[in-house]
Order: sequence, then structure tokens, then C-alpha cells
Amino acid sequence: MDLGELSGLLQPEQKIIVLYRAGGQWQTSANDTDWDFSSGTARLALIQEVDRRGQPVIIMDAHKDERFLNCAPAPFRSAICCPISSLGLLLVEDRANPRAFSFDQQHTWAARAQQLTESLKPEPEPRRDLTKPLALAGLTLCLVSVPFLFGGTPARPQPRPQIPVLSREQATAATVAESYLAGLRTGNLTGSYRLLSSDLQKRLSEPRYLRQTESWLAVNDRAWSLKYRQVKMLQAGPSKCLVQVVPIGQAAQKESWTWELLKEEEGWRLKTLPGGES
Amino acid sequence: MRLRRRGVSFLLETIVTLGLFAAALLVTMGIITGVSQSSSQSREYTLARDTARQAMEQQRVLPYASIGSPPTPPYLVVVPFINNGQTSNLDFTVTITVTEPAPGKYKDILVTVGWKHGDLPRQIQLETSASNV
Repeated sequence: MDLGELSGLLQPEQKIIVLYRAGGQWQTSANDTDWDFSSGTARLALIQEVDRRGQPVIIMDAHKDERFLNCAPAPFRSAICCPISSLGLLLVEDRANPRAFSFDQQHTWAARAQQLTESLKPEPEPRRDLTKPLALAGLTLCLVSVPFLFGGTPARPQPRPQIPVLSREQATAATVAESYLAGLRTGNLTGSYRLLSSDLQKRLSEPRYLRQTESWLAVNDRAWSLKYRQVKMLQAGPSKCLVQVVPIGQAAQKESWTWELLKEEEGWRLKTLPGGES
Repeated sequence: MRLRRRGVSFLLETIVTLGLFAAALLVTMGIITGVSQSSSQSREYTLARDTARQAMEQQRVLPYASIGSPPTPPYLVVVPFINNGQTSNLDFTVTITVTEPAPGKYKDILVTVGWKHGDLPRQIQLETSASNV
């Protein structure tokens, strides 16, 4: 039974409407302005009571009903309102006659209201077709796995070979001489001073060494020739070594320097200054 | 009896206060140590990078034929620095590797600077190319 068939059962002065919830608000089956459910109306008070109690309610005479004393004058005289499960409400009004409905009719309308339940049930959502998304996911997985299946294992970053770290205590005489030469080349004279023997450091303070070496390097293109010099071992002993700093390439015509190194407790140290003076 | 209870309560308060103070002190010391370590490592890396750059520039200013010829053996660079008013030294080991992928055209210069942070070896590498123009 639908709403049209129910309407056929009514007298001319009787009206019927179905209310249902949609989006948290009451919606009606009629779109005309004949039905006013605004705040403060008797209709709203009636449907709120039925909605709250979940039981059918009959109004014998709306103009005398104490439930509508605080409401605007009701546009109907008698009414039956029944819940349709928990989905909506069925409201039947007689707008002319009081006592138009009996309690027997209330039960009848309540039963008819239950028959409307099916029509108010929301349509089940159509089952989603997952074929396409699953096919796409499978295809993506296949494409992603291709490099792993046929490309071999991913190349691992090769660990950098660790170079041996020297210390002044363990460095050989040649390394100390090479380090001293590099210090002169880069202008790191304070670092070079640390490679002098303790005896030389006692006799020559660091500031004096810096001044003396700078002025020595400034003479006769010595600073320029540093980059064309290399260390050659002349004599190697357990506690004393002699190295020669020979010019090569473009500086081949320059003079050679001879450096003497001593083995001290802290390692090999230069006993002589860059020019060979002790 | 009341005096005894008051004494126990005072003792508990003292113990709790000392515990809280010790916990706060430990956390603060941990933070200070961490910051100090981080600062020390940062200084080491900065000095190492400067040393590598200097070594690289020393090679780049050479005529093309002299770059890496004869090969430079590993050498030490002693870098003095002042920390909290005290002068310390850092010993960096510089290794220069020169390769010539395209003979007569360009040479690759790889400078590796290694040092020890405590007992842990550390190193950085800088690489450049010198072309024969």
C-alpha cells in the first residue's frame, strides 16, 4: 500500500502526509505550502511528541487539547499521527470536524503506517565495481616488479675506502718532511712550527719563526718554487735522517735544500729550518 | 611523637628535592655534553674541508703535466686552533689521488682528508677536474 492508495480512503476534509528524516531534518511527502511545520505550530508539537514516544497519538479536538495551549491555533480539528518504524511519521488530519477519528481508526492507521516502512527505507548503495581498480593495481604492481625481477639486485653504494690516518707520533721521517713542505706551500706556518724539534722550538719562539720563515720564503722565488719541489731521502737512520728538497720541472734550476730530522719521543721532528740552518 | 613525624616528613622532602635536583642536573649535563661534542665535530669538519680545499687548489695551480706527477705521498697537516682559551692541534692526513680518464684532456683530482675524532676515524673527500687548455 502506498500513499496514493491511503489518500483514497480519506474524506474530502481529511488530509494525509508522510514525514521522513533526510540529512538530519524532517522532509515531507507534499511540497505545497498547505502544511506548516514551523516552530510554535501545533503540528510541530504533535510530530515531536510522536517522534519522542514512538507510539501513535490521536487528537480528538485540537482547539481544546491542552498540549496545544501554547501553540498558534491549530489548522486542523482532529488528527492521528503514527510512527513509521523509526524512519518517519504518518499524519492524518481532519480540518473541519472534531472527533473525526476513533481509537479503532488509530490502530488501523498505525498498521497502515507500518506498511509504508518499505517505501521509506533508503535504497541500498549499489555494490561498487572493483574490477577496474583491482586490475589497475595489479598492472601497476607488475610494472613496478619488473626491475626487481629482471634487473638484478639494486646496486649497493660502495663503501668508501678508509685511508690510513697518520699522526705526528707515528709518521715516518719522509712523511714529516713532506708535511713540513706542504705546510710551507699552503702558508700553514703555525702548523709547520709544530713539526720542528723541541730543541729548535726552545731556541726559536713561534712569532720569531713565522717572521723569519716568511722573510726567507720571500727571497729568490722560494715561495713560488715550493710547488715544484719534492722530498728525497738522503740518509735514513734509526734516530737521524737527512732529506733533500729538490726542485723539479719549471724550478729545476733553483737550489736544493737539505733538512735534518731527529727522532724524538713525540716522533720525527725537523732539526733545521727550511733553508737548512740549524 | 609529633616532633618525630615532623622530622620524618622533613627528611622525605629533602630526599625528594635532592632527587629532583640530581635529575635536572643530569639532564642539563647531558645536553651540555651533546652540544659540546656536536660543536667539536663541526669544527673538525670545517677545518678538514678547508685543508682539502687548500690541497686541491695547490694541485690546480700546477701546469697540467705536473698535476699528480710525481705523485704526492700522503702528508700531515697540523692545524692549531684555540678552544676555551687553550691551544690544541688537529692532525689531518691528506691523500691526493690523480687519475687521467681522458689522457691529455683532463685529470680528476681526488683529495681525501682523514683524522681521528677520539678513536674514531673520520674522513671527507673533495673532487675536482683540471682540463688541459
